[in-house]
Amino acid sequence: MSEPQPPEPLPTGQQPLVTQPTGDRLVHIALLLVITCAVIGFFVGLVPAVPGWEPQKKNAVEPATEARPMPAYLAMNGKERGPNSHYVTDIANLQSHVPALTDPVINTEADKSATLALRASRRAYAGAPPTMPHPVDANNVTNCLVCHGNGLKIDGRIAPKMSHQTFTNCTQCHAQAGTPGMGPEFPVSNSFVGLESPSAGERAWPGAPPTMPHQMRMREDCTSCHGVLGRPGIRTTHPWRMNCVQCHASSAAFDQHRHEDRLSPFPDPALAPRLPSDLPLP
Amino acid sequence: MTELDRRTLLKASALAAAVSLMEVGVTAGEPPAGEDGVAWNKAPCRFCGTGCGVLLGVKDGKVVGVQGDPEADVNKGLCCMKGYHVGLILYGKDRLTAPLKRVGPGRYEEITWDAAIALISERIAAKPGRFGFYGSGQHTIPEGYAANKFVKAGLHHNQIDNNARLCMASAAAGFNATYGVDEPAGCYDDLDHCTTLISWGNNPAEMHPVLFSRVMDRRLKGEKILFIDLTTRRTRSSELADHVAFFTPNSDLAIANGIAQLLIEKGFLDKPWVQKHFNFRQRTAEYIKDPTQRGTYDPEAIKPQNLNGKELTREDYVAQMAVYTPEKVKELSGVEPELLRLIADKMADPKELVLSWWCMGPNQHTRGTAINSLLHSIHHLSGQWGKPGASAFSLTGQPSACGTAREVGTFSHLLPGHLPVINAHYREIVEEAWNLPKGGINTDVSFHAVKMWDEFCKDGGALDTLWVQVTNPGQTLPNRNKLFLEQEKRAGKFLIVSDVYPTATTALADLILPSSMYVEKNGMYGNAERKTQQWFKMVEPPGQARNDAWQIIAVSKALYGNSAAQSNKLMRDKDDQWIFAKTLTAADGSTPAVWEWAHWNDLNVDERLFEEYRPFTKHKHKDLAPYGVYAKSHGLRWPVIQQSDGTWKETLWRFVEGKDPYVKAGTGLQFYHSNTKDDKAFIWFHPFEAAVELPDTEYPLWLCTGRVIEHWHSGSMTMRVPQLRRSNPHAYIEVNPADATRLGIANGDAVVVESRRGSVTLPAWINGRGKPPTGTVFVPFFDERVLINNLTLHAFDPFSKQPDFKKCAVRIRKA
Repeated sequence: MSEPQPPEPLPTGQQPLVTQPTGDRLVHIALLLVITCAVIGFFVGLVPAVPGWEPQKKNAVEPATEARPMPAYLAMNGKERGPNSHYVTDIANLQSHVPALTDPVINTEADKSATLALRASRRAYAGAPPTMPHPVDANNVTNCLVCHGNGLKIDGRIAPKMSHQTFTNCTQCHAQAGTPGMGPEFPVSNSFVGLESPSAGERAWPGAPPTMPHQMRMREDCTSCHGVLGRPGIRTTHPWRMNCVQCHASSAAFDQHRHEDRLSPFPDPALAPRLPSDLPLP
Repeated sequence: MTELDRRTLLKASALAAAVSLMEVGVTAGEPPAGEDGVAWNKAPCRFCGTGCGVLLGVKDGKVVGVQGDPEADVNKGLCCMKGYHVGLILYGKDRLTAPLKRVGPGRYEEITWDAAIALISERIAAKPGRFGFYGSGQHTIPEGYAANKFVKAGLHHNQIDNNARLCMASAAAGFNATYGVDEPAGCYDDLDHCTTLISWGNNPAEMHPVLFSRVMDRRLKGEKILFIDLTTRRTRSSELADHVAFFTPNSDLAIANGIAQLLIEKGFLDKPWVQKHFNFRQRTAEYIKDPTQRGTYDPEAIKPQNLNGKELTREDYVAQMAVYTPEKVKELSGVEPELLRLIADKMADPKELVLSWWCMGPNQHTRGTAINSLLHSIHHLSGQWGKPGASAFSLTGQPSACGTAREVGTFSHLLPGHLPVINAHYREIVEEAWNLPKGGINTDVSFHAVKMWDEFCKDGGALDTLWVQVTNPGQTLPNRNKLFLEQEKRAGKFLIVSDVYPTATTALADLILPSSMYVEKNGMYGNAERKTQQWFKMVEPPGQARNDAWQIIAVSKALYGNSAAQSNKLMRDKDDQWIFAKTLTAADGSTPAVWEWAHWNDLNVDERLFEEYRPFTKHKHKDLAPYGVYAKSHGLRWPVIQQSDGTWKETLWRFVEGKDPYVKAGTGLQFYHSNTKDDKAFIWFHPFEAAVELPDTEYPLWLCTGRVIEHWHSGSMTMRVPQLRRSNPHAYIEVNPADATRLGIANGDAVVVESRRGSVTLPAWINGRGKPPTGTVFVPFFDERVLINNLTLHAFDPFSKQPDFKKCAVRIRKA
């Protein structure tokens, strides 16, 4: 055991950083603190209390009334954990995948054909509700909105925003593209050839805004396919312009609200049924 | 030519065509094609009873696309996944395109249509009394009318029944027993107004998705709808329910009575509407002495009962209902007293608009007529009836179960216009209209569907030849091992099947006739809310496929000329004229030979058949408009009444003053077909009774069969649509996780399901789309490779004769 060494002498010319305070100095420091506190306290006291800071306030965060049960360890065994092969699960990274409105957009013919081919593979005909290319929870069907409510782009995969208004029952129209092997395939094919997707609208002259080559019904939200999360080749070059129909005309050929005169002709217009819109309701 | 010019020209030519139509009847104009060469025209969807309007796009003679019809008020432009793919059902690669005659086990040879028609007509001519016709709720209205007249006028018996007997016969019996006339008083508009919705053994999210969304989407607009799901299995519909209650199979009877009992407690028997508009009724006899004992139920032993039942005094009603306290109902059904009280409170609240809806749960039920009647009754008692949004609504499964099976009356007990065969007055009306001699309509109600197939299959049965059109009994009959036998086991019998694809039925047919389907022909359907819809042929049928109505008319014409048939007066009216001669005479007096296929399109046969049928509809106040009105409209709900200005107006709510033109002013409600002839409907009492087969130690589980959103009934059409098949490729059995664990069954394991009648093997799906409670399993019936109806019971309701596909006892084990 070595002897305690005396403190080494400071190098010449250096003073200790803190000197022992004398009694007078302590009094001054204490006074300064009291005065500072009083001044700050005075001004803080003038400001009204910030709402929500006190837990009894209405908009304070309520404590959870029920806790989620902890899964049993045995039940955890079979569960897949961590990132899977399809998705980047880091929320911070997800944000960075959404292109800015001002990012340049270059549509190539090759991108466009690839996109149209992909879309065709998921539809029976142009205008059919697309099938779902991934498995879904068989029951909690409104979960679709988590990704498809506003659209999402994760690691190159796109969950398009719904092109139509929100409905309650997604699986009413959208069938799964595949349900994993329940049994042997039913050995019958189908020779249906669906209406092809249009490839471009008409332009009155080079540089004119193209007309819409498809109908708008169930596709009211243009940004679903043509917005910043649209697939390559069919994106708008000017996503910052919000009013698409200002320049892009819809075509009467697709305007289904005018199909009445396509009904088969009937001789006497007086025989046309009168619909009971005048019926009194409570 | 510019678009404007083209349109003007088309309109002008349409007008010219229209003027010429005045003379010769209504035929399809050429619908103008759009810029993309696609011509869109309207049709109702081919699938369920909802009756959505669709627009089919046709290009170069083929259907290329489908849209929901925005002008159709049923679906307002939206469809379900089946509807969006309805055009694809025409193009399965294995369409039947030539008549096929069986020449040995599993071997068929092509024959000509002439040979096929001759074969059928000779067989019928030889033994007309041993021939039966098995039709369908998918027959179009004109086809059903032709088939009905073919049998009831042409063969002088009533041996025609149809698959709607398996589907909504109990709903029809419930309406008849309650109102004295069939079909709902309300309509789909009730879905837009109700504030409380009660679902009885029903999964509309999958089976009637368009209607389910129509009501549930109101929540997105901020409207409040309390949805109570009374069910035997957790389904997709349950996911949107505020309350889900599982009940023991068959105990819906106890739940309905429990609600009635609570309403009685609240004093509803004294309400003015109960006194003014309703009589009380109960059935005339017991069906089962000991309902807990299996095997005591013999439907044949129960004599048909009067749908009127017998009078029930208020005291008796109260006394019999007193048993069904909330606590007793919990004991019988498992439903908590709190929920029962909540339902009764909602029904008792005059500020609420309560809508009950149901489909196959209460219909495929050996007490189907009873539960249907009770559901109407609780709405009568509570006053939740006769206001938009307050109603009891029976949904249907087939596109024209209402329009054809019920209204045209292709049942053994009905004549056109839903007129009962047993009523001499109605028989006279039909005899006169069809120019038959007095007594020309047979009084014998003959065979309902189950009995018909039993008579065809059993030794010494009364039927030798059966003709099946537009349905697949080989897959959908209950207790299939008894009711659908292969040829070798039914010697001397002859099964004729008209269909579009090879099915479980054609597999055992002796003669297969290729039919045209859907928009390959003109057609009319009637949906669940009394709406009649019409469409025109849009594309040609493939190969030698021909219309079902043509097949009937061609055989009828051949029989008319058959020497053996002449002595039996087959296909003749009292003046020895062919029964369809007048029907098929054009307005200008010409008589094109439409029984020859080459001339089939020389006349709009649909219009001729429909116009002959139309006068029958007025007797039960189900008035239909002229054919041309439907051609121009997107569907109209009957009674459709011509107004003083010549227009035709549909009826949304029946029996309600101000809404139904047949109701007298000042009555409020008038049940003008009342069974008691006093303008009053019935409030019924029926006791709870257990199901006819209960789980026991040997077969400890309940089996429920049913449908899924992707597939329509036996899947013969939807399994040929890749988008639908891929989404639900194979039948499965839903097992509760607790039962699966106990039996060592894991997800995807092959499972053997056995009942006393048969067995199938199929994969297990645990915690899948539906979640059956412990002790129950569910199997969909769409897959022809898994014939689950080998297991089901053929026991049926004593009134409606509808069998029960929803409950029987099974056991399961890992294969």
